[in-house]
This record gives sequence, C-alpha cells and structure tokens, in this order.
Amino acid sequence: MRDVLFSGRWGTISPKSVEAQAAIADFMYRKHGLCLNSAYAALEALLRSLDIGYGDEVIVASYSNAVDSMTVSCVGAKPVFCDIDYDRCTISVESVKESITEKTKAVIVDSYAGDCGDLDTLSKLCKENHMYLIENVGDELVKNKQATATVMDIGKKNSLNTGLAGALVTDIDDIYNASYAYHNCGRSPVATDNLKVQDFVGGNMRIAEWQSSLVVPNIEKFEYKTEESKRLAKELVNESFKVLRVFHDRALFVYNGSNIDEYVILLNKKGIKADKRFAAMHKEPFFKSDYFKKQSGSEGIEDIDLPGVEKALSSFLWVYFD
Amino acid sequence: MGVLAINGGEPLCRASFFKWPYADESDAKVLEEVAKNGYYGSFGIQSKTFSERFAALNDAKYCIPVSNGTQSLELIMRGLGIGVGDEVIIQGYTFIATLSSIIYVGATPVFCDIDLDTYSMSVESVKKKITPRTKAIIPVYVSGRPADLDALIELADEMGIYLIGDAAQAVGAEWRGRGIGSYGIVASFSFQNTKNLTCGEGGAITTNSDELYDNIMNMLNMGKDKDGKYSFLGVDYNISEWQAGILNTQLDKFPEQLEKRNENAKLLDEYLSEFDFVSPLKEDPRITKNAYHFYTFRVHEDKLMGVARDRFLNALSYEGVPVVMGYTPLYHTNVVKSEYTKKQIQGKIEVDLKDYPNTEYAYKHESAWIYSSDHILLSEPSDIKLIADSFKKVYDNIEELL
Repeated sequence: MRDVLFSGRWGTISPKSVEAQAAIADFMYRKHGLCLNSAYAALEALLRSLDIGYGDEVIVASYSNAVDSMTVSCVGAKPVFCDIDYDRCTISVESVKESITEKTKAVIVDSYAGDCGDLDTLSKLCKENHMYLIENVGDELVKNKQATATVMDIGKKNSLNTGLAGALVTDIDDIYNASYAYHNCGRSPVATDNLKVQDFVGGNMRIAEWQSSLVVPNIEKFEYKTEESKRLAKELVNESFKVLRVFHDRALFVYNGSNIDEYVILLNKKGIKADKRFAAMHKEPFFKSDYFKKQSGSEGIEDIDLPGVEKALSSFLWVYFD
Repeated sequence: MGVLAINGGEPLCRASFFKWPYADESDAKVLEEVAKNGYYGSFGIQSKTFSERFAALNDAKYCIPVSNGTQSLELIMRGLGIGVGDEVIIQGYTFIATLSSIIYVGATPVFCDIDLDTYSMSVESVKKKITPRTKAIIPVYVSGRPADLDALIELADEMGIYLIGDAAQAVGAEWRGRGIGSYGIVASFSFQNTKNLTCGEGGAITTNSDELYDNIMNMLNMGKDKDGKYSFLGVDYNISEWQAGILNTQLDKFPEQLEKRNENAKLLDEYLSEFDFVSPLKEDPRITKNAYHFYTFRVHEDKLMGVARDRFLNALSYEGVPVVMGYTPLYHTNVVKSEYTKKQIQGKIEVDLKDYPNTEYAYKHESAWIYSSDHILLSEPSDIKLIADSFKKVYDNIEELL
C-alpha cells in the first residue's frame, strides 16, 4: 500500500490492477481477468458486453444473490425468476427450460456453498438455445470452466479481502475487450489517449489501486485459508443436524422445525452467525414497482409458484464460521 | 533549424511541474489505521467521517461517498426516477461520463450549446431544447468553473425540471460564496486520480433533499428499504474504507492547495491578458471560488497570422507547455449512433450541428487547456511565468509555423 501511495498512481488502470487481473485469470484458469470496483459492476460490465439490455430476458433463480436480478434490471433487461432444485440447492435445470422464451439472452447461475449446479446440462441447454451461461460464484470463488464468463466478489473477508471489489474471467477475447471498454469509459485495453473514447458506451467501473494491491498476496493465502476453514467448519458442525453442504466458511443446514425465522434469531442471540441468506426475489416489491416496469418495458414480475424456493425459505439455514 | 522547439530549437519551458497526486505520512497513517481496524468495505467509519466533512465543505445537508463520478450520476438519475422515455439536456463539450450515465439509465440525452465566454451550458440554448419529456439538465462545471447557476436554476424551477450539477472537476468551487454542491437538487463529484481531491477512484453526491438522499442510500444498500424489503433498484456503487480514508487526509491538504491554484490561475490570467492571440475565460464575480482543475483559455486564430489553433498548440507543446485542445464534442462520437444506445434509450439521439455553433467553433478553432497529469497550477510562480514566456516565444516566431 505504501508503494501504491508514493507511486502517485492510485487508480485508472495502474500497475497493481494490471497485475491483479493477470493473477485472477491464472487463479481461475481462464485466459482473461478483469478487476472492477464491485462484483455488481463485474456483472454489469459483462451483461453490457454481451449486448444484454432493454427488452431482453435473463433467467435467474429466485432464491439467489440479489445482485443477479438487480444487475439484470440495472441494464434494462428483465429477470425471469425460476425455481431451485431443493434437494441440491442449485438452480433447477427443469425450471430454466420452462423459463426460456425468444427474448432469453442468458442464464445466471450462483454458487451455493461451492455448487453451481448441473453445469454440463446447463451449458448444453444454453448452447442449444443461443444463450450465454453466466456464473456468479460470489465470494466462494469456485473454479468451473463451462460458463461463458464467471463473476466473483473479491471484496469479502473470506474471499480476497480487498474491502470492496469484483472480478470477471473469461476465455473469450471479444467479451474481455468489450467488458474492459464498458468498465473504462469506452477505452480499449490498448488505448493511449485517455480523452479518446471508442464505440462502446463506456461507464466507469474501475478498481482502485488500494484494493488491487491486495489481490496477489491474498490469492497466495486463499487456498490455505479455504482448506483451514473447511476443516474447522467440519469440526464445528454437529452431526445430529442434517447438513446439505459444508464449504469454505459456511455450512448449509436443513432445518426441520416450525419457525426458521425464530430459530435464526435464537442462533444470533447465542453469537452464532446464521441467516436464511437469500430472499424469494420474485416476490420483492421492486419487481412490481413502476420504475421497474418503466425500465424493463414489462408489466412487472408476476406472482408465480416456485415450490423449491418456498421450501428453501422455510428450511435452508446458513451458518457462517468466522 | 529554427528558434522554436518544434523546428529544432531549445525548448523554453523546462519547468518542474507539481507531481500529482501528492502524498505524505498522514496518508500512510490513515491506510495503517484502516488496516488495523480490519474493516475495509462500504459504510465504514472513514466513509462516515468524509461524508460529514464533504457535506460541510459544500454547505450541503448530505453527502454520499460513492465509487466514482460516473456511477454517481447514474445513481442520481435513478434516485430521481429518470429513465426510459425521459430526456436529459447536456452540453456536448464534456467528458463521456455525462453522456454514458444518461444512456445507462435508459434516458435520452439532448445536446445543447455552450457560451464561448465561459464554455459553460448556454441558457438560451437549453431553453430551446426543453420538451414535455425533459426531466433534468446537467450543467458541467468544466475545469472547475461553475455555470450560470442563477439563470439555470431559475429556468429549471420555472420548467419543473431538475438541475443536476456535474461537479466532477469542481471540488471546492463556490457560487456567490456558497459551496457548489448545495446548488440544484443535487451535485456529483469525482475523486479520480487526476482530480483536485483524489483517492484514485471515487466520487460523491451532495444534496439537500431528504427524499433523494433516502432513495440513493436505499439503492446503495442493494435496494433494501428500512424494513429489509427490496423496494428499490439495488446497486453496489459504494466506496471502500481505503478510498474514504485517503479522502480524509487529502481533504486536510485541500484548502491550501485550492488557494494556490487560484493564485497561479490569476497569475496566468494576468500574463495571458497581455496577448491578443489568446484570452482567459470571462471573469464572473458570482464565481467566488473557481476550483481550477485545469486552466482553460481561448485561442484567437484570426490573430495568429494564418496559423491554425492546433499548430499553435503543438508548437507550445514542443516548448514544454502541457496544452491540449480539450474535448471533442460528444455528439461527434460513435456512441451517439451505436445500436446499443438506440436499444437502451428506445429511440435515437438527435444531433443537428446547427444547434451548437459555439461548441463547434470551440472544438475546431478556439478551445485549449493547460492540462497534464502533473498539477500545473500547484507549481511555483516561476514555472507559471515560463508558460507565459513560451506563449510569447511561439507568437514572436509565428512565421516559423507558416
């Protein structure tokens, strides 16, 4: 950080961010990496680079990271909410199939305690229907290769602990170049004149050098940290509960009691960090608001029956181990 | 070999300009504090402290620190409910961020002209561009110089539209003795690496509106309202503690730097006023503090004996004076015609060059900035004198450029 401070280059694609991007690409076994000012920005730049916007639809699981449906809405597209496969706690392939329309441009899958779902089938389905498969691995940083591009949160403490930053990785040159331009005021990766912009409607989603400088050292620690977390988490988990998955710093339990909300409060009172993690996004007021309708050109999100999501909300209990 | 450096002569302006950004141990200390505190993310203590201090600097009720001065504009427009089907008036003489943020929210940018005396949004031109779909005007305080806020606010109020101040370059500027961030419904600032107050990447929003403040804060909380429901569009355009900490220590140094910028700019005004081939922008007593992010001046080609502005500036560059011609008007960029833009705004951006004669004249013949990644106006007065002497040298040897 001192090096950054006295280098006079604190932002605007400087040496540490260039270094961080190469390191992220290597870490995720991908050709290109791009670091941005948040995971949200990473997904936004990616969606824009895929030309996804007004009038398009993107399929997301309702029980998922709010960043997915919010970012889709931010670029003017409509999130189409689908169900989850309750037994596995991943996006439901069957529900994705049922949600495809001629307007569908992409499917976003999340990582739920290390599992992004049946990526082989989803990848095939996306290819058949000319859709992009986008993976949001959040702070779990799992490494798959099937998606068109992967978005990640590198800000969180259990992730790369930069404070606030995101990244995307891809093997596809055009997607990298377009994402780069969208995140850097329309400039190409090899631009030399900062006042010149090219054809892209460029915004600013650049990462600062402070966060960038933490990427490489924290990647070096990440594998060890992850293994240690997994080991401790497994030790802490009481085998009398049904555990769906233990991953990294978290465990997904299946709660069989009558009121999960009260149980979460009880756990929190005992100093145990626990929550339901996600909401049923398709029921949230924003997606029925006038602003959403105006921005997406739609009638808003209808009330739909998603049994897997309903069941998850009353029984999926997430516990975190700091 | 000629006398001018462009023809092989010795460059005159061998100045040692002020390196930017400037850091000292106080900045190192705040980074250490953040590191020791252990929380580096959004809405931390450094961010809270900065928001209070920056609101006070701007005489504004609220300040919201954000990721940068582009996403701040997007947030503002979304917070005001501006989107698809709405129109927002901007000048073409500005940076891409002003335009792209409007397209990002799905609204239609409408270009207006500038005044040549000030290079700010022309009130008369704005009047001609207002339609029933107009929701806002975004005057850009280019180089840190406020636009005619008396007239623009009166017009905005009369027409029932918002005035959003693009103060990306205008940290510390004042209009009639009051902070620039307190004018209009809201103002947007940038703290990018070259800006007068910087943390590498960063921005801020200032407003006196309770409703807009609440809307934006809810959006920054991923759209959650006070009951934890996702009632707003959620975004993550937040700022980290690293950035906010640096802003706090940089803000300590800022007042003295702003004074120096103004002193050196006045010096340049005086020097350039002695020439008839260039002139500073017109003085306006209502601008009680110009932020002087850089120094804008006008080149009068008719006094250059047939030498074009660009050739003249090129000769100055060879002498060592960091000069550029300034903005290419945004209506000339391909962004305006792109299919992506049409899709996002559900229409097209109308461009009629006849409506922007001043912008076109400035672009083609007149506009010039003293601009560099170094901060020229924080340099020593002797360096400022070297700049002026270089102007004289080029002019005295203008025949070498013919």
